[in-house]
Amino acid sequence: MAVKLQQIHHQHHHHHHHSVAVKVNEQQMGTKRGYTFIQAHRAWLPKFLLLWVMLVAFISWMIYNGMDADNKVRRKEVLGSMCDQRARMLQDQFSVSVNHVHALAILVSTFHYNKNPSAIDQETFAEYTARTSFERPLLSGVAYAQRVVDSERKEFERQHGWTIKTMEKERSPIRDEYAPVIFSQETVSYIESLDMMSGEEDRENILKARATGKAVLTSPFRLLGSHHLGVVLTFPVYRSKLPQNPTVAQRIEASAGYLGGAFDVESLVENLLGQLAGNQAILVNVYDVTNSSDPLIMYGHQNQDGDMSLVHESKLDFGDPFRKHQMICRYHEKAPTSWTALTTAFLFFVIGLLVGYILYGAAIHIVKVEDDFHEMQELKVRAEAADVAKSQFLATVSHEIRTPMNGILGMLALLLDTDLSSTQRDYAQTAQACGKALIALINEVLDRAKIEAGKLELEAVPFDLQSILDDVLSLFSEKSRNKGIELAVFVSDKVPDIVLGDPGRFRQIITNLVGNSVKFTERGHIFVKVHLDEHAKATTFAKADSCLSGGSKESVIMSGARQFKTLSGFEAADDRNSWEAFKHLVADEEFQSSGSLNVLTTNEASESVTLMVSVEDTGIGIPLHAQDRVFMPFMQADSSTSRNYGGTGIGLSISKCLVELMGGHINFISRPQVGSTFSFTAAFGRCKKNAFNKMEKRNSEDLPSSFRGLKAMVVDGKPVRAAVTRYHLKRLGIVAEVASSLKVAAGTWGKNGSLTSGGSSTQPDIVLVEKDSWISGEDGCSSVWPLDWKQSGLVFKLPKMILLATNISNDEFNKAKASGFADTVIMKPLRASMVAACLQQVLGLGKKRPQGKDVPNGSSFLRSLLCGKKILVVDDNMVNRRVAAGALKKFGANVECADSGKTALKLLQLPHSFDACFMDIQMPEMDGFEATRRIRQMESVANDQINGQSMVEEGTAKKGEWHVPILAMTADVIHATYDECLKCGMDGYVSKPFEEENLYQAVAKFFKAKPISDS
Amino acid sequence: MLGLGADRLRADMNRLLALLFHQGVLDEQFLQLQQLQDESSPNFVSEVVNIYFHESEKLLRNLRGLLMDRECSDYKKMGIHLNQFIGSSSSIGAKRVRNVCVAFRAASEQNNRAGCLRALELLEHEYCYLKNKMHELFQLEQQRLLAAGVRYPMQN
Repeated sequence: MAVKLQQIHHQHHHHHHHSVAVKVNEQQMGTKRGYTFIQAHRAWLPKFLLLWVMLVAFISWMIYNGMDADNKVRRKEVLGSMCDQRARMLQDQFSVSVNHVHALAILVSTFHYNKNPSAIDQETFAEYTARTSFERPLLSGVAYAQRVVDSERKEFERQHGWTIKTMEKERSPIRDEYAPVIFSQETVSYIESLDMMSGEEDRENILKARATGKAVLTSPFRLLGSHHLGVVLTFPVYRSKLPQNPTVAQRIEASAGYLGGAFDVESLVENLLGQLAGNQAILVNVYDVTNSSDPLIMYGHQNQDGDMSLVHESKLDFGDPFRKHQMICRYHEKAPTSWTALTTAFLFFVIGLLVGYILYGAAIHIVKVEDDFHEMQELKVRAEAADVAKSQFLATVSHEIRTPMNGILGMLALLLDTDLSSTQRDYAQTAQACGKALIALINEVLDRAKIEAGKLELEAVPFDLQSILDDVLSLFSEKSRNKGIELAVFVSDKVPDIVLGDPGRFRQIITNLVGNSVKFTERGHIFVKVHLDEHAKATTFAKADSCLSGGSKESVIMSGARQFKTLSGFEAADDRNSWEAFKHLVADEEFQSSGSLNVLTTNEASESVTLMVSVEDTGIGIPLHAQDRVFMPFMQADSSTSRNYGGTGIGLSISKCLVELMGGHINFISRPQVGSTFSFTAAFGRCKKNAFNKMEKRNSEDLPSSFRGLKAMVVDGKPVRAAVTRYHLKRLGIVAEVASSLKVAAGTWGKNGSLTSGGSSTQPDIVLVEKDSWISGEDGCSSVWPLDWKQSGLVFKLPKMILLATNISNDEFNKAKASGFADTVIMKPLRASMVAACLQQVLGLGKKRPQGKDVPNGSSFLRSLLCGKKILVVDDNMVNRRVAAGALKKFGANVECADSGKTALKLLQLPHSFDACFMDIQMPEMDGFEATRRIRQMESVANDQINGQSMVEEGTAKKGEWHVPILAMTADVIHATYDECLKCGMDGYVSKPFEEENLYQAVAKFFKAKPISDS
Repeated sequence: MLGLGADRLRADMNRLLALLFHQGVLDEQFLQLQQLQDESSPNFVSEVVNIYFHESEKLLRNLRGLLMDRECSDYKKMGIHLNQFIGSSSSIGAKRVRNVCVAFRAASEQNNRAGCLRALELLEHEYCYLKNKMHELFQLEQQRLLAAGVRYPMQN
């Protein structure tokens, strides 16, 4: 044993591993498939983040650059425009001054040379120039130098009274010509009498000026007075009017002197800039760039400070064709850092960074969640595998336990059969009960495991619903009787007798539900009701109807105690089974059966039938808080329940599974302290017509048909119970009426009896009295009515009085006997077969009385058919042989027996005198099929010999000559068996043990013609 | 007085039969069997039942022998025996014995030795019970016949 267990354990272990490994593989495949993009590139995530940061940094740098470049362009434009503006203004101012000097030149020319004598002398010139100096703000002073050729020098010096001096204030050496200053503004009076041509630069200027006739500038130099940088402007004055477009020679010839002025450029520019806004912002330098390689500064600091990066150059044109000037502007300060650009870029960077981080975080989170998910999935798979393993383990172990347990139980049963002292017996019985409980539990666990593993498959075989219900009821009859609970079953007429389904499982559900009910019910009743599902709906409507018409009907106050119109009078949780609803069902049925045939046919046409089964009890009910977990395995209402009532709580969950497998659903209504009603639906198949017939044969075989046509009276105060009784009687073919009490019953009979003296048509053959009704009516009537009967002279036709009781004490029994229930007591729960047995017992004893007419015609026909026939019964089983022979003999047949196929063959050697042969199929050595085949072979050989004629006639001849009808006797009525019977040459079959009707049907085929001649 | 005794015995018989029906020990077939008993074969039931017991004991012995043979239980043979048993049991209406036999047969078809052993125990138990009860019944019947013996021909 140990080895075996170990082996199993090992096997199990191995299997477990294997399955887990498989699962893990699957899971891996699954995750591979389930990986998202993020999951697949998880290693890249930090790199992605880095890349992103770099990208963002780059973009922000670009943004900054872009904005900065914009700024710079604007700055440059501003600088340019400012610079140009300054240059233009400077140029304008300058040209205004130059124009003025030009005007002075013309003045000098006009009043000094064209007047004679001259209108201008030093004094006039000085005054005029001083008074017009506001016109020349840029010129520190003007002076006029006359052109003097060397030949005229003596005359000129004499005229003016001073000698011509050089710039160094020395007497001028002799030159070709001189340009001594004769008029000067007061500000520059120190240059009077100085020869302007003595300075190299001045001389050049003078020569250039008189050649071009335009103002000519010197290169910048420090002015004598102010030490400001300045330039000297020289303008030629011509003596006479010049011709149009004069040549250079003409100009030189015509020149009379030179007007010069010193431009104080520095103050000029400073003044100018002072007038303009933004003076501080920019730095302005003015250069003389005549010699482009060496620009000479005219204004501004030589040392280059300020922003060197941005420079704007503007051309200046002071009207001197020989000199070029330019203005260079730059910002005073370096371009301020652009905070907007910087902030924008920075903000963008920050935002980008945040976005990147958020995305990264999200991705990381997704990865984590997915990892978790996969982990969970794996765990789930493992858990499921473990669950399956658990189930398998349970199944295996349960199975392994069951085997030795069966041994223990068997031994206990044996032990109990031996001589034991009462204590020992008690011990052994306890052990047996425990063992049985354990086996039941194990079976349940096994079932559940099977269902969970999906291994449970439902059969689909035809079975008799009612007999299963009867079986279950009989199972619990002992228990319920001990408790004093009424147990009843009612099957609606519309429910087909035979349905296709799994009888075992159906029985299991019913057993479980009824078992629970019995367990939890101490008083009242348990009522099992089966009807069609559609029917249930109809009755629900009816119920609603009745509720509308009067709610107070539900209960009737009876002698102070509330009586409910349920089976036992106790209140039930679900009032669907109360009389109000129930009578609709019954009435409906009656209508159906009496009336429309087409309804029935349409019903039968459908393939499947859904049944509604309800099990009602009046037990302790289910506490409200526990109602929602009733169907969960191993759950009970509370721990005290299992303590008080035992059980594992697995039954209901199994039932639920089974019901669902049957394509139905289970539910319940329960009220604590009132009771519970469990109802479930299940779909069954309808039997096909031929199978149906066959099963019906078998079914009616269970219930004797000898009661057909009998009349019964049911006396019961409770209509539901009466209906149940009536239903059972109806199954036996007994027509029953219901009377609510003995008095009512006696009344109707009394009347009938007196009216129709014979009373044969309406008088009931049986009276079934409910114990309750008897006890309540006992005091007055019990002795009254038998008296009645006797008085009316119908003693010999007294109906059989039968008491129906759930439990009955000896006292009561005796009392009942005394008051007329001598015949029998039928103990409830009622079952058709049991009722039949009791009735048979009651009626069968009075066989000798004129019951012949009541015996169904089948029996008498059989007698007429079989009377005098010689029949061979072949069966190896002595008991069967004897019984079959007995049955056939009863119908007048002449029976011979054979105990094997071989003997039969011997007896049937042609010629023989047998009219028929009943052949058992299962026999050792030579079975029924084989024997039949040989008999047929024998017969055909004989027929051939006898006929020996043409092939055409053979067919008819065969039938006319030797052909002993052979009927198979078999216990199982499977279709295949029947087919095989026909195949090997049998003519039909009868079920074993014999049943009249069945036998009649089989035999009638062969002896049809003969009874007429016989009878 | 005698007739009264017969009535009581009859009632007792009925009750015993009712009990057996309730317990499912017997089924309707037994009643059929009883119906087959008439004047022509007055002891039909007891005759058949005695044959049944005789046969059954043989079968039970064989079955036990087959099962106790530890080495190789001949399940096929067992099945044949069981079929016989089932047949005869259903013939006399011994429902419970028949049911146990069916279970036994199922176990033997599966070569389930333990199941067979258990079924055998159960079968023996059921068989004993049936036998006891039947004996009781026949005793009652005999007593009744004795009691009613005086009246019997008169009714005829």
